[in-house]
Amino acid sequence: MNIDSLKKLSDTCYEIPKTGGMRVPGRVFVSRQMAKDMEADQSLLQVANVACLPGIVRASLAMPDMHWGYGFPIGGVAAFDAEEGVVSPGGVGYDINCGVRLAGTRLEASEVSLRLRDLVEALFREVPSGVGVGGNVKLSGKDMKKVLVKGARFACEMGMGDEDDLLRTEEGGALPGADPELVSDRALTRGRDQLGTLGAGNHFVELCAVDEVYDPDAADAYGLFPGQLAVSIHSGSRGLGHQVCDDYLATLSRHVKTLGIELPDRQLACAYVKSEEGRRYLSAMACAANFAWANRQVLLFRVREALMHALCVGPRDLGLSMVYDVCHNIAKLETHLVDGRPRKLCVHRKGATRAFAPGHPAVCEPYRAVGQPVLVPGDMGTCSYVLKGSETAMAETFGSTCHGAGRRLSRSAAMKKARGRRIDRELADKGILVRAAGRGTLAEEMPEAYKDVSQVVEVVHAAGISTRVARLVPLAVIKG
Amino acid sequence: MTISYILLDHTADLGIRVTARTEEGLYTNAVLALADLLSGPLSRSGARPLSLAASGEDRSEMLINLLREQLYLFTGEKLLVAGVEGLALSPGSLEARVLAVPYNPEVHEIRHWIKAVTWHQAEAEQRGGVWEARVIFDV
Repeated sequence: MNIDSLKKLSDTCYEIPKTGGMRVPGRVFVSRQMAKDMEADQSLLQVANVACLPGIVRASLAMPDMHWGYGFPIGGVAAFDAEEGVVSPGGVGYDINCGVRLAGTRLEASEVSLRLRDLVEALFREVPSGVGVGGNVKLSGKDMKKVLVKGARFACEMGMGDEDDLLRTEEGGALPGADPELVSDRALTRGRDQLGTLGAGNHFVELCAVDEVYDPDAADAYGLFPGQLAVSIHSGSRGLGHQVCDDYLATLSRHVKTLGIELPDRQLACAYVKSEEGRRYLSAMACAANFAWANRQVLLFRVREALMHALCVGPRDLGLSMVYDVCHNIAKLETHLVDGRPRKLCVHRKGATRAFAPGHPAVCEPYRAVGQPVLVPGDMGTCSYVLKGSETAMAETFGSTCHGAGRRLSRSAAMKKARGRRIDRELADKGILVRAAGRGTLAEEMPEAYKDVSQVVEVVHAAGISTRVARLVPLAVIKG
Repeated sequence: MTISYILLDHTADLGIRVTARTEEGLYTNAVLALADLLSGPLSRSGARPLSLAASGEDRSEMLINLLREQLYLFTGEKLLVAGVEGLALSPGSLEARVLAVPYNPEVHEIRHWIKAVTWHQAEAEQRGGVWEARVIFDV
């Protein structure tokens, strides 16, 4: 499938016509310039596959950072009718509530430029990283269940955050309906020592500087100013979330056969939202999502401690305060206008970010007049963006937009490209310090492995499904 | 440890194609391939025998379930597979007898931090007298 076989709806949106088992068309937000990356893998086919699932509403959507996933594409958005549609663990992904948290400081980046090496070392010491690596928060069975229900609030009750952090977290840092009894012992075992740990792969803690402000009013509302030192955290629900997805995929891959639903890919295993099986998955998924929010809350606490220690400053001088926390692997029950009427939908965002418009009641009060902040990290060598949600997103993408740069190269291709090179030195030459727990991480995560995040953002901005507020450039990165 | 597998290119993840002359050999090689991706060859010194059991309505489901068990052995119980001693196959189920060693981060370097065994494009079948399987891992 290539872009010339698609129907052009605008310069930034192309349609995959409804054919075969597709119940709705596919709709891909992309520029012609970016399309060649999508044509190189099977992601467009995956958009069409998702369109075959029962109860899908309007279109199977893809954001410009889309790339080949498993089942659903990464960068996919699909909304299913809550009465007649399905929920699919593969539409959320293994890293349930993988997401990004951004916090600003009172400091200017220039004030710490001579201390960056100390900051990197302090962060690397304080933030446990690597897939199987545990942290120093050991949860009893009772406390684990509290985490799964309370999410970020649990960490705040442990003194690792406050109400303002929760206010500036999507869903207040906890999805309702979480039932720990529906989480397997295996998942609980995997999560027991992983609260406050980063994980591996593309997860990171990044010290960055606000490099450019495009929308001064929104930036001001979000507490961002030019030259500001900020911290971005990318992590998720760790082994607990992976196991929840794994458990329910296995269960639903058998269940779906009893429903007579023909699947183009077994990873699309699903259950009707209103069925017992569907409700059980959503409830277990909520537990994992809540674990992820607690995890990012603890990580922010660790980052604060590391920065204060390394800079010899108190909390007031550092002034580390939340901008926002978004999830980009999730399924949520939301109400959207469809053909002019409100309709309850199960919106899957797999590698996509919620981008609610100004005035939406789900946007926290401090940002309601401006719109929800959207955090879009790029690769570790270029830049990241803060965007804001829009009415166009509400109308066209169920209030969704892109989630990052999106991979362009496979991990093995990246490793080949990195052979004989020192990625850390190349980044240091650009003034960016990096530390990674895994030996191959820097090669797999090298900047060339990703699409150009500025091009991704250009597409969503031009399409109006979220608009630019500020750009951040990396100063130092800790990888798993 | 001789393993017959090749890596498949996948934008986000990691795939393998495994081949064998017999069905039992296919599952055995798949276990060895996952062990190789996780840790590379390991010394069997101090290894203890364990059983990995899996069932499935078809071969690919059985294969996925077997590898899921093996991955949990590492992610949940911190044990790495150092070898396969035998594999018993019966209709709809199998049992692999493996040798496992405790994961020691000071000694073992993890080559690929695999999060999960996916169902995406999974297959296990016989083609022209050769048994072949394809599995994509989430990393």
